[in-house]
Parts: sequence; structure tokens; C-alpha cells
Amino acid sequence: MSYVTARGGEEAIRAAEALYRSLLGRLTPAFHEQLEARLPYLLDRLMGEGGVWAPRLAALALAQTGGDLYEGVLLLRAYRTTLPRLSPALALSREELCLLRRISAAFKAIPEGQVLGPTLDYSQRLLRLEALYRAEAPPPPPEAARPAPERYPSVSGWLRRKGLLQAPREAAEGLPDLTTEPLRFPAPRPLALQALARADTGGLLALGYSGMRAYNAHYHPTVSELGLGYAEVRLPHPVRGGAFAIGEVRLSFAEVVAPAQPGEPYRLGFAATLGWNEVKVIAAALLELEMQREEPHPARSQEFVLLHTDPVEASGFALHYKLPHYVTFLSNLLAHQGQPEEVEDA
Amino acid sequence: MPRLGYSYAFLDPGAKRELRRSLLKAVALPGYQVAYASREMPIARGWGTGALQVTLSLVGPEDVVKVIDQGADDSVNAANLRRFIASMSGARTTWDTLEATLIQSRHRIPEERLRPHQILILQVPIPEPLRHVEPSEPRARELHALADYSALWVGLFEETRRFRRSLKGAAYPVMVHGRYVMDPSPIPRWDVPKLHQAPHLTLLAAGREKRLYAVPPHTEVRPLAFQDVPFQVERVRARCRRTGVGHLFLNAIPGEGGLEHELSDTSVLEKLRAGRALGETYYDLEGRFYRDDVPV
Amino acid sequence: MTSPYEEAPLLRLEGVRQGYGAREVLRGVSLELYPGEVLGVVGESGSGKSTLLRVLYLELPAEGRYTLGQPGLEGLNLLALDPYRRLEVRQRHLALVRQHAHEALRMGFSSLANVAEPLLLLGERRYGQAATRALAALEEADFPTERADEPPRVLSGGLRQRVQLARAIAARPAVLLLDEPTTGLDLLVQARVLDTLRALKGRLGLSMILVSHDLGVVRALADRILVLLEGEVVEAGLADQVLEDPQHPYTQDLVQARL
Repeated sequence: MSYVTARGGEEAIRAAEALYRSLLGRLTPAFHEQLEARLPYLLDRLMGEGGVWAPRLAALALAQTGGDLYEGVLLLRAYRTTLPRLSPALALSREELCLLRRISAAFKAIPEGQVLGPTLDYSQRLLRLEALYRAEAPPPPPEAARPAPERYPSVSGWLRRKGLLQAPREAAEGLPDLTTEPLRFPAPRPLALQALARADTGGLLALGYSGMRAYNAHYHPTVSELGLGYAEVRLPHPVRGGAFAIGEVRLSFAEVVAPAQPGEPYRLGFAATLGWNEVKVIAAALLELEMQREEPHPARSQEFVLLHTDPVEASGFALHYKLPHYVTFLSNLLAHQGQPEEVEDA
Repeated sequence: MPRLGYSYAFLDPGAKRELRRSLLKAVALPGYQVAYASREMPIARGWGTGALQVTLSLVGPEDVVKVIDQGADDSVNAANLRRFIASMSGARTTWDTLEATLIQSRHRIPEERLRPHQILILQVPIPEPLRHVEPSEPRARELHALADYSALWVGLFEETRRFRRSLKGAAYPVMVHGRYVMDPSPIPRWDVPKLHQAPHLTLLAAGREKRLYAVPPHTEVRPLAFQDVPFQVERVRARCRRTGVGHLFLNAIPGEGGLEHELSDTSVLEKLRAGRALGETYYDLEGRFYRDDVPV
Repeated sequence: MTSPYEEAPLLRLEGVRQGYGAREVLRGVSLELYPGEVLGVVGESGSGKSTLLRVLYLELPAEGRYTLGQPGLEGLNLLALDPYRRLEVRQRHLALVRQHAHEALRMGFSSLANVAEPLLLLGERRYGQAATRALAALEEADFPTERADEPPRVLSGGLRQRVQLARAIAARPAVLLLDEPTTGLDLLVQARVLDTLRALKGRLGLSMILVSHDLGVVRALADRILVLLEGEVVEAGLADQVLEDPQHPYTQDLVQARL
């Protein structure tokens, strides 16, 4: 039987957690369902950074932490890491995605057309104050003029066939898994892309924006394709061979292109993440593009970007500053002041 | 009983296997930082997740676990970790240094001497002793490979020139087995000599930074210091307000008449207050480190 | 080139190549450096001078043979050593004074600490010894020692070069390499640094290889001169001989341009 010392600190911990939970009120399955249905973008951000597709668990994480995103991501990650890894999913090509939205800033017309899909891009961002006083039903979704195609051709694939884009970079042998091996530098591209996929949205935005606004902004990269949609997750069947689908996940991706040497094909930057999170994939794709350059600005260096944008690590370390540092503080103080015969007070 | 719904000691077998392999490598290369995957744990990153993973990869139901934070067993973070380890492993916990088989510690080495069967697991925030002189990890790795520690020596030279001493307090860099310079974690200088030729195994783990390293038993651990400006431990000329002890590491506490002091090691404090005998300590009653082979 | 001296060379390069294809920078360079002499390497920019110096400093890999007549290194091709050993040889036997002090010095540390660094690197573990020897080296480099605690950041270009020089000689290297050590300094300062170098050569018997595009600087210091054109040695000989009676048309142009 286990014996747990229960003295001092433990009482305080229990009381503090009880107070925190009492302020959040009751958690109910219905509430989690509501969260899942009504806040998909928030949940998507959480699942993207958590690196796991589990809308109900994300809703629970959000509810359990009162909407504290960093706490929520930590909950998801810490749970995810205990789960068995049954099988790697089969790779999907871009053209196998089922997209609801895909746009290109590079060309007015792209094969199969620009598809706005669900977006507020061209709407006025006005608070609809009347909804404070009476329920508001959404307008009925518009009728499609013609059925949407099931699959859209990839813009970068088309660019590449035209000789406008550099050949894809060498794929690494096998697929490394960031969650079971450490990131070391220079990091192979698959690990870098995984790190970007799980990175903190705000962190990527800040670093990405610094490159867009000033540092390294000698040219203007262009979004050749931005997509939101669904990916069917397929696994190799362990017994009979072949593949079978276990479900689908929401995901978003961005591809940006930028000039290389004059006369040479363009370079491609890519990022994708679980969930629909446009700002993240655009910032991440721009960073991915810049990380290919030699001698980049620190905010463009692979090591700088990837090490400093992990939400769990960055937030955890920031919060650790509130832990007691009595011994370290005293030790540093004494070293700074010299061996203190003067601290005599016995 | 370990908790249901999770693997024994929380970590799945794959994670445990990777940790144990990395630990073996770390023991084989004293002071060398081994990169490992480092799983997310159900406590915040930077709060001891590395040491927690190591503890969980080693603990068994027969173990007796002690967790301290800045020397204190009753610190809230230590209490939280201890509660978690116990609930996930079924291991017994203790405050008594002598009774423990596994000791997870943040920033202190206990005052009572550790013995060969005990394992000390230190929490490490920044494993890289070269970080402040070389922020890039690949370049720092190269400097370690070349055993090029001149940047640290130049810094020490500069401080000695200006202040006649090193300004480094906690996390004083040490040379391990004459090969790798190592960050001993932010233990006070007071604790640094305890690592030298110690009979116990010390494992150091940084969860956020994903590095493990080790000081195997009976390994040379020397603080980086000039021969003619010897390394010195902290000297607080004071006595513990609760036990009157003056020869062990004391915390400073702001009191009514200025600074008051109290023993940092709660295991020792508790024993003295209960009138129980202490184990052998590293420092003698004059506050001298008394192992013959370790000058202070 | 036949040896102008009785002794065996201290340093020898044989058929050294660096770079490849159209980008080949050194195309089979051979040279010798004898104990106590200053070898000047001249050539315009792009001739491969700096690359040669970086190869000599074991900073750049290259093909060919590079030997140093130093105890323990006899007959060893330094270009074939692993990086660890290469670094060790560099630290123990070679020193380089660069054109730009900021590439060689820790600008935020004191000048004294900068000079002490090679001593610390070679294992000096006594603070007092390191400080005394570093101060002595600063003095040898004619650096005003009362300013030893100031960082190079606040020093003039001339003084920074003296810190570099002191750092380079502190651990008494077998060979001192100088890469345009006075380029960019104004004339008076340049002349004083050259005086110091001359004095050092006399006092310490240092062997040096001096690279410069400035024939005046080379004339002031070098015993022998080697002319580099597009990665090849086109002329070599005693300094006076090369400067007074150049044989190769390129050397003739160089000397003319100087006049």
C-alpha cells in the first residue's frame, strides 16, 4: 500500500486547486459538446499545438482550464504522450485532400478555380450587438451553383510542371517522429515541419511577421495556395494488407513561393497543421521558406525559430520563474557580494 | 496501488525504454549531454519534467522516494511531484534522506551523505554550461567535442582580474572525469564538492531542453577554478533559528531584526527538532568539507 | 626554389590545392618558411593570398602536403589530420593576426583577458601566471599596459591590432601568420605597428608569414617574397631581388604600380 506524506505543501495544493475549480463551476458533458460545436477554431488551435486530433478532449481541456490555452495545450500533450503509437498513417498527397477552401494569391485563375469557402475575409468585422438581446439563427447556407469537385489539383504541382518551381527537396529516409526523438540542429525537414505544425500560433506569428515587416523583407513572397479542408486518415491494415480509413481530421496548409537566383525556378515554403488555422500556416510557411537561406537573421534561423516557439516549453519555462529560488538566489547573492564575513549576525 | 488507466509509473514502455537507454549512455560518458525525446508530463515544462521522467523510469514498488525543492520536502512543487510519483508507482515516499532509494531534487544535494545504493536525480533548467557564451546548440556541441572551454576560462580570468573571485554562485561549472565541462544544475557552490568521487550515482535531467547526463559513482568532478584562486563554497556566518546549527547550508529569511536563518535541508531540520540522530554529513561541525580527497 | 639558408625549413607546403573546378583558389602552391625569417606573400585581391593564409592556419581544408618542423609533428601531413588534432596543432603552434580585429577578439572582454586566452587554452591554470604573461605580451606589442583592462571595443584600430599581436605572441607560437595586419590603419599608426613587428622579429626571432597587397609593408618586413597570381606562385626570391629585379611580367606590373 502506498504511503503518501501529507504535510505542509500538500494541503495548500489541494486548497488552491479546489478554489480554482470552484471559480470555473460545474463541468458537464453538454457543455463540452457545446464547446466542440461552437468554438471550432479555438479547439483547432488547441489541437494543432497539442499535436493530437481529439475534439472532445480538446473541449474538455479547454473547460478544465477555464480557457487558458497554454494550460490546455499542456493537458492535451501530456495525455497524448501516454497513448500507444499503433501505426503511422499513410502519406497523403496534397491532391487527396478534400478542401472546402483553397485560394491562390499568385494567379487570378487556377485550375478548378479559387474557392472562398467559409470565411470572413471580405466581411465587415462588426460586433452584431443585437445578438446580445435575442437569439440569432445563422443565414441558411447558399445553394451551390454546381457541385464542388471532390479533389482540387495542387497549385505548386502545376507550377513545378511548368518549370517555375524548384524540385521538391530530398525526402528523408523513413519518417522521423518529433514526439519520440529530440530536435537537433540542423534539423531534417520532416522534423522541422512537425515542429512548425505543433508550434505556438502567436510565437510563429510574431517571428513570421518580423520577417514580413522588416528583417529579410527584401522581397515579397506570394501565397501560391492556401487550403482548409479534411484529410482522411488511412492506416495500413495489419492483417489483410491494404489500407483502411479510421476517420478524418480538419487541417490547413499554406504554400508560399519566392524568387531564388534570377532566372532560376522559385523556392517553395510549406507548412501544415491540424485544424483550421490560417494565420499559423501562413506565418509558418514563410518561416519555412526563410529557414532555407544561408546566414539568416536570428528570427529566420531554424534553431532560433523552432526552439522558441514550442508553446509547452516556452510557457512552462516562463512560469517556472515563480517557483522558489531561495537557494539559488542566496548563492548568487553571496557570490556577487563576496565571501561575507559581513553577513555575520549569529 | 498504481493508478488505473495509465501505464505503470505513467510513462509508456516505449518512453521508458528510450529513457533507460539514454541513461546508460549518459553513465558511460560522464558529463556528456545525451539528447532524448523528453515526453510532456502532467506538470508544467521547466518544473522538473526531466527529472520526473528519470524518476519514473527507475522507480519500482519497492523504492522509497524523496523529493525536495531547494532543500525542502514541504515545498509545494516537491509535494506535488511526490504525490504524483507515489500515485503512479505505488512507491513509498519519505522525507528522510537516509531512507530514500531515489532522491529527486531541485537545486540541492542533501547534507547527509548519500550511499552507493542511492540515486540522486537533479532537475536541470539549462543543461548547457556554454549557453551564455555560445547560444547556438550545434556550435556548443562542437566546442564540447573539441574540449574547447577557453570561453569559460576567459570569463573566469576576467572576473578574477576585476573582483578577485568568480561571480558564479549556483550552477558553478565543473569538469567531469577530465573531459566534459558540465552544469551541475543550480545547486549552490556548497553542494558542488559533494559530487566529487561520490559513492552514489547522480543523474541530471533537463526536460524542456531534452538532455540527460550523469556523474557515475567515484568520478572526478572538479569545479572550474584557478590553482591560485581556489574555489570556495558559500559561507553564511549564522545559525539556524530553529536548531542553532551553523555548519550546514542555511536559507536567509527576512526577519524583524534583519536577516534570520534556517536550515535549508528539511530532513536534517526535522531530525534535529525531533532529537533524532543525523546520518554522517558532508561537512563537519566547523563547516569544513571533511573528505580527505576533496579540498574546499 | 633552393634554400637560401643552412637550416631545414620550419614550415613547408607542397602542391597545395584548395577549391575545385572553376572555383579552384590555390593551384598547387609550394613554399618553405625558415626559422626566424619573414616570408612576404603578395598578390592582388583574388590571387588566393587570404585563402593561403587560412590554409596555413588550418582553418580551411585543402589537398596537398603541409608539414611543420616541430617536436612531435615531424613528417606529419597537417592537412590530413582529423579536425580535433588540427585544432590542437593550430592552438599550440600557430597564431594569426587578422585584418579585422573584431574577427579575432572578444570585443566585450578586457584586452588582458583576450591576450590571456591562448595561455588558458593551452592549459595555464594559475591565474597569476596567466595575468603576468599576458601583461608581458602586451608590453612586447608596445601596448600601453595601463589600458590593459579596457575592452578592445573602446580602443582605436591601432591599439586593437596591438592587442591582437600580443594575443598572437603570448603563447610563443612557432609561426606567426599576418593577414594584412596594417591595412586600414592610417599611415603613422601603420608605421608604428610595423616598427613593433620588426622589433619583435629581432627580439623573439619569430618566424612569420605576412600577406599583404601593399608592397611597402612587405618591403618593410620581409626577408623573402613570394608572388601569387590566380592561385599559383609565379615568382619567389629574396625580397630585394624580387623588388629590384622582378622577372615575371605580373611582378613587374606590381612593382611598377607601387612606384
